[in-house]
Amino acid sequence: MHIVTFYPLGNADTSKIDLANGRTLLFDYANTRDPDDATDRRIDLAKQLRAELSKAGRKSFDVVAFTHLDDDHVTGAPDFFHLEHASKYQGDGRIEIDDLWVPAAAIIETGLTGDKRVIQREARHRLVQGKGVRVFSRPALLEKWLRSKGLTVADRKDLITDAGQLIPGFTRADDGLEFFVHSPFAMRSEDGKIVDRNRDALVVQATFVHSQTETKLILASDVDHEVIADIVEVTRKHGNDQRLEWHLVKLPHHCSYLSLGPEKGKRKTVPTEPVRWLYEVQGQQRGRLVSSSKPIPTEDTERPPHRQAANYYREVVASKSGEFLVTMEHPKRSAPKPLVVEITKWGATVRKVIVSGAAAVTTHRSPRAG
Amino acid sequence: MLGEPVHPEEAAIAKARELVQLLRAEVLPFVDLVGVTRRADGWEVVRVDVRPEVPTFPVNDIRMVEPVAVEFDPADRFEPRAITLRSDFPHVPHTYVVAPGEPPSLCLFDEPYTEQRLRWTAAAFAQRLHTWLSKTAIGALHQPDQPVEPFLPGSPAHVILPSHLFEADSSRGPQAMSLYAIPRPDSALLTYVAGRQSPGNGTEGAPNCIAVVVETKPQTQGGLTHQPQNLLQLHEFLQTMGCDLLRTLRDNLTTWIIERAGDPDAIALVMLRIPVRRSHDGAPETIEIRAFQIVGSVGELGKALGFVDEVDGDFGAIIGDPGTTSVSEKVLLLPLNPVRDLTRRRAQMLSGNRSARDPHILAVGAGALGSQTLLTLVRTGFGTWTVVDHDVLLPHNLARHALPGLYVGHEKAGALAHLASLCFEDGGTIDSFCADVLTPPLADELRTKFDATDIALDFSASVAVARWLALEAPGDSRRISVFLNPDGADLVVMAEDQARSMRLDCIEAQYYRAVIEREEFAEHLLENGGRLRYGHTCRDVTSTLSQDSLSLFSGIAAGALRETIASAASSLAVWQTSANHSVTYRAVDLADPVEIQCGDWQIRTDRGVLRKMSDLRKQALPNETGGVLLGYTDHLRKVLYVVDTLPSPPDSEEWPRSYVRGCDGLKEAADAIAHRTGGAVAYLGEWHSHPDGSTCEPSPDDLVFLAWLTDHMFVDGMPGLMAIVGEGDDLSWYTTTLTSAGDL
Repeated sequence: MHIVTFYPLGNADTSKIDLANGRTLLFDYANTRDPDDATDRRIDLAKQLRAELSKAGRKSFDVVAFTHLDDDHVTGAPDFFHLEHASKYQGDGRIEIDDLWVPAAAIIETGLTGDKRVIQREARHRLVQGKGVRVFSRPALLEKWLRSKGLTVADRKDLITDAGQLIPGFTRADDGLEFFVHSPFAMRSEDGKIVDRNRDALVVQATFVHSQTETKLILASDVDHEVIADIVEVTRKHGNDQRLEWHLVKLPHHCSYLSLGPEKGKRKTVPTEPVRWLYEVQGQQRGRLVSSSKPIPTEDTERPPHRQAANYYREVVASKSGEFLVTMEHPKRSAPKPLVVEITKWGATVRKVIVSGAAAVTTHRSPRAG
Repeated sequence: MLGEPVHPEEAAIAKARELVQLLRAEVLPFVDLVGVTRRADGWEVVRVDVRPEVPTFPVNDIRMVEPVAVEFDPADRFEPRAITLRSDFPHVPHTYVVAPGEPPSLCLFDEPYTEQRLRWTAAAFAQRLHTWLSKTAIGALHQPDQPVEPFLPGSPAHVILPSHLFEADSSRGPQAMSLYAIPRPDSALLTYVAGRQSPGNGTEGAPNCIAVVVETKPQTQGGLTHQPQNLLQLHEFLQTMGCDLLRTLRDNLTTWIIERAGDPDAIALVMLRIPVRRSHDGAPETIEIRAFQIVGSVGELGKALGFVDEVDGDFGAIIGDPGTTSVSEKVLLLPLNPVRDLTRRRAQMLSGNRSARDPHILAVGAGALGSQTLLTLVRTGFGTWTVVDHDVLLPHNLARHALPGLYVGHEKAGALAHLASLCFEDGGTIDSFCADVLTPPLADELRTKFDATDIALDFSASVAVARWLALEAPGDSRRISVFLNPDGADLVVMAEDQARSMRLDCIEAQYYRAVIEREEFAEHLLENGGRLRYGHTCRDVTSTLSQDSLSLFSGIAAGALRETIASAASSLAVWQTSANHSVTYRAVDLADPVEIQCGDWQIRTDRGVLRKMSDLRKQALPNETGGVLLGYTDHLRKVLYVVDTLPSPPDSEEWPRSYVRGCDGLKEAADAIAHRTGGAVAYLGEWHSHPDGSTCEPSPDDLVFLAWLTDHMFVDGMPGLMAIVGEGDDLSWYTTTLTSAGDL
C-alpha cells in the first residue's frame, strides 16, 4: 500500500507520500501552528512528522520538495531539517533530506527573507556542490546564475528536469510511482507569443501503481487559473491529456476562487474553460478534491478559502460520486487530524477511522488532576 | 415504514435516544443524524447518513454517503436493525431481505441479541455500521475463513433426516421414509425425525413421507433473501437458479402416487441443495441445504396442482399442462431446518479423531468403568465393538453405570450395545454376548469373535479374566487391561505390545514391583475408604466411589486407549488423582519377560528381577550373598511369578563359599510388602549367589537347604523354590514339591 497524507495546517501545505517500498517524500513543509495558543487546532507538524519517521525507523526523507518559496509552504523548515550549507542547521536530531526539489525560481529569486532565504541558500549550496538537489525549469533560466558560480548548464544537466518530463529516480516498476512535471515551464502560444511560467510553482501529476491499478494524484501547489489554463493548453497541445487525469487533487491555493477564474461569483465561482475541462472532464469517477485550508466559511470572505470556490468543487465531485475534503475539517472541525489516503489495488481510499474514547484517551496526556 | 417525524429530542426509546444524543453531540465523525420518526406500532426510526471508507474502485457499489434507517423496538426484544434507504443498494453478503420488495437490512453482528445486549452502545453500533459499509465496499466484510453466505434464512423447526439425503446425486425420484413428529413444549413448533425408531413404539414405522430433492446449479454467494411462504414463491426463487420446482414436484408426486402406489396420505418435504461459491470464478465451497414441508398430503397436493386425478380411490395421471402456477400460491410451506443424522464417520470428524486405525475391539466386562469408557469411545466414532458380560443391570449399578434406568433387569452387554447403537443412524457397529468367559465352554460364535478381533480389552476388574486373556483366550489379538485401584483413586492401563512378546500377566507382575519400589504407589493398593461388599478382588470398584471420579477416569481411559492402540509398544501407566481432583500421570518402564520351565512349574519373571539379584551378588563379592524371592503363584496354571527380591538380612553370614540367610526384620519386611500389595505379593522362595568361577549347580549344602525349604512350603501347598545366581548371566532355578510329608 502507498499512503498519501495531507496535514491540517490551516491555509498551508504539507503533503507526504509513503511508498510501499519504504521510500518517503514530502511536498512542502509549513509548521504554522502557534505553540503558545492552546486552542490552535493546527497540527504540530514537526512532532507529527518526527513520530511518523520514528515509527518507520527513519531519520531522513528520500525527497523534500518545496513547490515554491512562500511562507505557507516553508515556515519552520530551517528548524526541522538538517541543512548542509551551515552548521547551525545541523545535529540535534534534525531530519535529513536526501534529495531537495525546488523550482528554478527558488534558486534565482532575489529579496527573499527569513525561512525562505535559508531554504534558498540550501538549494543553491546543493546545486553548486552538484548533488542532493533537483531543479525544475527550462535550463536557460538557470544559465546566468550558474555562470556566476563558474558553472555551466551542461555541468548540472542531470540535476535539472523540465516540464513535460518524468522525474528521474522514480519508476512504475521499482517504486509504483512516476511523476510527470507540469510546471514551471515556458511555451510559445498560438499567437506566437512566449508565455513564461518559469517563475511559477512546481506542479506535478503522480501516477501510483498498485497491483496494476493506476491512481492519479495532482499536486497543484498554489497556481492560479491563468497558470492552470496554460498548463492545460500546453499539455493538450502535446497530446498528453492523460497527464491531467485525476482521482485525487491537492487543490491549489487553499480553495481560492482565483485558482478557478477571475470572478469570485455570488454563490459559486464559475471556472474558466480550461479549468472546467481539468476538473469536469479529466476528473474520474469517485474522484476526491482536497482543500488544504481552514474550514470552508458559510459567509463571503476576502481571503481563501472561498465558499464560492468550494461550492464549485462540491458540484464537481457530486457529479462523480466523489468527495470534497478539507484538511481542517477532517475528520471533524473540532479536532482535525491528518487526512490519510491509502492507495491500493482498489485505488484511493480516505481513511475514516472512528477512534474509540479509550483509544483517544490512551494516546494523549491527561489533563492535570487536582 | 418510517412513520411520523418527531423532534430528535423526543425520541422515547432508550437506545434510540442514546444514538440521537451521540450524533447530536457531533463527537463521532462520519455518521450524521438526518432525522427521527415514530411508527404507529411504537417503533422509532433514526435516520443517519454514514460516510464509509470507499475506494476509487470499490468491489461493491457502496457510496461516499449511505443513507440508513435504524429501527428500535420499544420493548428492546429485537436488536436495533439497520436498513438501507437506498433502493439500488447492491446485493451483497450479510444482508437480509425480510419481505419481498423491501430494502435489505444489514446484518451487523453475528451473535444473538441476548448476548450482544450486554455490550450494546450507540457508539459501538454506529462504529460497526460504518465498518460494515467500509468493508463491504472492498468485499472484505465476509472474511476468507468465514463460510460462504446462505441464500435462505434458517428455521427454528428441525427435521432430522438420513445423511444420504445430504449427499450428492440423491436427486433421483421421491425418497420414502418414516417420519415422526415431536411437539416442542416451548412453542408451537414440531421437531421431525426421519429414519429412526420412535421412542414411543421402539420401531421404525412404514414410510409416511417423501423427500423431493432439488439441486440447483452452483450459485455465487449474495445476501439472504426472504423466506418463501408458499410454493409459488419457492418456485420463483428456484427459477432464478435455473430450476423448475413445479415440474420436479409433478414428476415425483406422480411417481410416488401412481407408479409406486405409495400412500397418498404421506406428506412431502422439498429439500434444496444449492452449491454456493465465494466468487464468480471459484468452485462451490459448500452446499446450502434447506427443507420445506408442503402443507397437506401428497394426494391432496397432486390433485390441487392438477398432476393427478382420483376416481373411487384410484389415482391417475393427468396429461398436459396442469397450469399450476396460480394454485401454487395457495399451497403453504413450512420452512424446516434440515439436520443431517449422525454417522460414525461424522462423529470421528466432530471428535477430531483422525486416527488411521479403526480397530475391532472385543471388550470383556460392561461394568461402571467399562460401560462408560466404551460409550465414550463409541461416541468419538472410534472402532467397531463387541461387548461381553454376563451380569444384568441392577439398581445399585445406576449410580455409576453408563446405562440408564430404562435397562434395569436387562443384561448389561446387550443393553449397552443397544444404547451405543442409538448414537448413529447406521447404528450396528457394536454387538454383544451375554457370557462369562471364565465358565467354559466358550460359544463358538464368541470364539470366532476372539479369533477375529484386533484388540481384546479387559474391563472386568478381575485378575482371573486378565490372566485368562493373557494366557488362554482364543486368538492372538493384542490384550489391554483397564482397571481402578481398590479405593478408586487411580486408573491403571496395561497394554501388551502388538507382537505380544510382553503378555498381560508379566505386566501385572511388574506392576506389583512398581507398587513395592515406588514411593508414589505406597498407598496405591491399600483400601482406605470403607467398602460396600459386593465383589471380591482388589480391582473391584463396587466400593464408595462417586460417578464424578468414574466420569473422569473413563474419559482418561478412553483417550489413553486411543493412544495406546495407535502405538505398537507395550505399556503400563497409572493416573493418580488427589483430593483436589488433580491428576498425575505415571509411566512404568517394563523389563523384558523371562520364562523358565522348571519341573512341573513354570517360572515367569523379568530381566528387572534378574538384574537386581545379579547386582546384589556383585556387591557382595568375593562373598556369597542371597535373600528371599517375592511373588505369587497361579495354581491353576502351575506358574510361579517372581516379582522382586528382598536383600540379605543383616544377620546373614556371607562367606566366599557359603551363605546363611539371616532373619532379622525379614518377616516384617515380607509382611509389609504383602500389605502394600493388597496381599498379592508374598514370600515365594530363596536365592543365593555362587562366587566367580563356580557353576550354578547346587552344592550338597544347597540340596539340604532346598529340602528344608520344601518341607516348610508344603504346609502352604507350595513348592520349594530356590535360585542360584552365578557369574554373568548364569542363573539356575530349582523347584521341588513334596507329594506327601517327608518325601523328597
